[in-house]
Amino acid sequence: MGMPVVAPPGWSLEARTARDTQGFVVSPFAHLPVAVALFLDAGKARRGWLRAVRQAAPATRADGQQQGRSAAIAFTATGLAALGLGEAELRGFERPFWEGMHHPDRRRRLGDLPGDGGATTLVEGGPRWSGNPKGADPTPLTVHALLVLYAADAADLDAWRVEVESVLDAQSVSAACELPLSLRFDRHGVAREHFGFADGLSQPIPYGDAVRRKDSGPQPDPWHGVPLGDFLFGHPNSHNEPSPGPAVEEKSAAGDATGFFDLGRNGSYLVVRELHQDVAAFWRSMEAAAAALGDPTKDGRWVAERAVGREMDGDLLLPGGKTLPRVPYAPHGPDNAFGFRATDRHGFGCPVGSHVRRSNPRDGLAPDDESAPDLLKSANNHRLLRRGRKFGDDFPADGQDDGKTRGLLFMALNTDITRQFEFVQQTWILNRAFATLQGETDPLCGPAGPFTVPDDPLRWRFGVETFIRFAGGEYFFLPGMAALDWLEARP
Amino acid sequence: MSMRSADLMPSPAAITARQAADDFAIPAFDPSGPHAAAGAAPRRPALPAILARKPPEQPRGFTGRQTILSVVVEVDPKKAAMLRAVLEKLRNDEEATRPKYDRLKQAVPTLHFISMTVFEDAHHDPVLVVEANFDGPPGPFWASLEAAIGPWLRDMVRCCKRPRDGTAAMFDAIVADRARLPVAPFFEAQTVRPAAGHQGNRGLTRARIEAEAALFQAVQEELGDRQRFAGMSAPGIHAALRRALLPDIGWLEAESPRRIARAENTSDWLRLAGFGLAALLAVSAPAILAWLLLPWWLVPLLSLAASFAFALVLRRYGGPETSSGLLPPSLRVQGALALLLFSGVLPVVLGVLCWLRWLEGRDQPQDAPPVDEEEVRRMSAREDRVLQNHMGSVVLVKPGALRAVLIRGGLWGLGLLLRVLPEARRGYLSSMRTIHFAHWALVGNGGRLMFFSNYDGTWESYLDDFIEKAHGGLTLAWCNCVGFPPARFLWFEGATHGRRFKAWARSSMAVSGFWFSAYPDLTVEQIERQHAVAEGLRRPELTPKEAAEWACLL
Repeated sequence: MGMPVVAPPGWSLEARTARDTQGFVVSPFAHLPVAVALFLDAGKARRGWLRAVRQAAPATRADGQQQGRSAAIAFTATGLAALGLGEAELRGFERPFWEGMHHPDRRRRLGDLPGDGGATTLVEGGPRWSGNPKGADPTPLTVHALLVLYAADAADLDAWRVEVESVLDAQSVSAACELPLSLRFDRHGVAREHFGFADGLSQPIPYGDAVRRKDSGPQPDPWHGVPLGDFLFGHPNSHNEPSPGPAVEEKSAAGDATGFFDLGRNGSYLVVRELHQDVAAFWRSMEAAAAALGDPTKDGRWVAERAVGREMDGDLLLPGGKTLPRVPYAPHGPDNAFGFRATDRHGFGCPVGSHVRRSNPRDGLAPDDESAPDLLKSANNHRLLRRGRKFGDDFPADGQDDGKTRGLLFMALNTDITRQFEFVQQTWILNRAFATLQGETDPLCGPAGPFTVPDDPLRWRFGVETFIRFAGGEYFFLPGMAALDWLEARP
Repeated sequence: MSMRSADLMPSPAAITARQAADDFAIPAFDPSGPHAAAGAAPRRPALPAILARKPPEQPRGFTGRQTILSVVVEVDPKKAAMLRAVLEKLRNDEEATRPKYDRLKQAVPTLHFISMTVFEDAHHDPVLVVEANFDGPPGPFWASLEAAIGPWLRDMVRCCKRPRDGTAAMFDAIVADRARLPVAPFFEAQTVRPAAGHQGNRGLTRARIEAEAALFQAVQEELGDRQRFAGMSAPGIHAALRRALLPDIGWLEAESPRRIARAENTSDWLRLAGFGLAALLAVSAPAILAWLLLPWWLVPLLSLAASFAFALVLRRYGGPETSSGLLPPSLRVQGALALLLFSGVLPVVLGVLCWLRWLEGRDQPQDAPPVDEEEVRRMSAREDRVLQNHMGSVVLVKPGALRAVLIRGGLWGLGLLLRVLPEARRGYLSSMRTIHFAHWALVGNGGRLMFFSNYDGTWESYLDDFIEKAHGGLTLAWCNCVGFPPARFLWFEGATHGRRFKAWARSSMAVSGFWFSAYPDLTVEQIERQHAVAEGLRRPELTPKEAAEWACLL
């Protein structure tokens, strides 16, 4: 097991901000390849449970050196209510947060309801967990908090988990469900998702007064620069203001309002979605599509790489069957500094409707060359800082379906759920009219349907099946350190 | 936007002709897909069958300009709830047809979009606004709308106040028990014309959009068997498709009608020129007066002094950033400024800017407009059902003489400009092309500004487009309204305050009680794509380069 060669872009926070921020924001903890996500139900918890949990698994700060163990903690709206926040205080958060991911109107928008034709991207029986706030469609399991424990190896993680679980037991907090997360690198040091594709390649690079960049000055990265405020409350965001987080009344000992506490400061919203991947169905669908093309040069892998938009090792597909050359200073890492307008306007290389192009169209939606920089800027107003990991065993190397559950625990940070996560999901991923395509959605995440692969002179068009299914999810609030103290001290 | 009918079907006879064209076009374009079979069982359109009927060489409904208008009627406050119920019933009724809204769609063949909204706010009695976007002049449109939903319209008028103008008698005759008098003339009489409007697919009539959608569908079906085209070059594919489709689609051989008729183009330019002249005259009026009344040497002197004073004031109001933005960058501009200075026009302009900045510094933006939780929930439940959405908003106009002039001049100029700019004619506002029909209109003697838009995608993405791509024009149109985020010089900042702008816009909206789109599954971009495919197929031959670009659209 080695360090990932494709290291996340180097940035950190200046000391004062870093002290108040969870390490989860600045680091994927790539040096701690095993982890477990505990989805906590604190419905019957004793008072002061948060203090006990924090002692057993203190949330890692963003200013420390790499440690042997790290943790992150975040809360759903119902979790904050269980910690004593009132209705009025919760309304200080953004609407999607307190309405919940499973509000009927939101489910329709996020593609989490069965479609007219019964097409569905839900697991059988529907999603199993959420925060279950009032007004949302209920799920069998209720989650109040997410605690992620990261460790260097499985033995240490197990030992730590036993400690933490005994503390949870003593506080009458139960784990509604848990997912063992992993970051298994292959022998080339590449982290791959279950279908076999190199993953986690493209991340936004925050900039702003509170950001320290290792490799360059304070200038925003030309392709991936995003103001810090889009990921951390209280810092300037891409709408020309400090991103507004929740503020709460600060009660003095006598109980009268003496001012406001900036509960959001250096916190963020964490979007979590448990996605099951059916690897066998994926390759079956890709092979079937390839067979239907009637072109012996195009196999299942060719189709799969078009659906993703990169080839399996992560290199961008370019017109003429080429891929983007790797950058000299990182010979093993795919290059990520590219737009689509100049090199691949029609999508002959990376299809316009492919997963990577839908999840971040960069400058590819520009109607002409002049507007390409503007369109890149506007696409960057909708970036997500991704912190997801896969769960479940690797798919058997012999290709025989073992029937086990595996997938991705999607975790992404943003400070404006509507403008960032929901926008990406609705306007790009699931948009049936994305970039003038007609009647198709994302070939990976969307429901079964057609998929167009542009080609010179004539496009290919074929059907793809459903192989990623939604099994549970919610919007969490990932507090800063001072906010955690405040929540803990709440009577 | 005046509505002189240039070459449009002005008579009921023409409507019949249109209907014939639609009979040919509609069945193939079938937004609800497989469900269509439920309504008209054997009509599932197999391609050759629908296209077999030879249409006339050039279907008549293919040409014409579009009309945007709205009708504003004061509602009797006691009957507002009743009116909402009428709209809801109408909506349920039309949604019950299979495909949804098919009856209205067939009955009013020129209609693109129509909405009916009840706006309520604390300062006014409720108003009912019917916003309509259609082909051709209003007369035939109202006649066909009356034929389609006349009784509903009458029920709506019955919930309204008796007007206090000349239409009162008409109102009485319409709402009387068992009245048979047509309602449409009353609506026509209450029509408000847009102060500024925009169209995504200008010059494409509904018949043409539908016929080109059907053609696109036919092309897709031809391409379904891709093996047939293996090894072909782009010009070869073009030729093969043309060969296959020509026997069934006769109009491919007819000359492609102009989207904007010559007369319309001329009138657009003339009106813009007229506006420019009027604006110039307005700002030069004081100088002209001064030249006439004062000794000749005094005017430039006074001009210099006043300009200097105003420039100083501006510098204070606007800050260094602003004044550097106003500093002349080139010799030519410096020359023009010198001329303006000498002639005495410059101080007028600077003075108005000072006045404006003074007002802008004292206008209070509304950071947290009140949110009606129930109304927001209803909007949320209505939106994102189809690819398109609808937005209707009413806001108060800021007081004062300068604002009254600026909002009229700003909107009027913006509207005229959008009618001639090549980008805007192709549907673009800056680099966004998601609006089918949108317009601003002043109501209540200019006390309120209405905005209506029929757009693609989600409300959030629409507003983000405004904020990221078209904030200048948006700010110009809306910064004269109460509570708008702080703007500078009518153009800067304003809508770039994204979150505040969204909150303000959402708070000004009401649920669109009834909303109809003739082609809910087509975006502006897709309509243009289908149009380009059709235009390509009309041409007997394409060069290899043209053919390659064209084949990318297939």
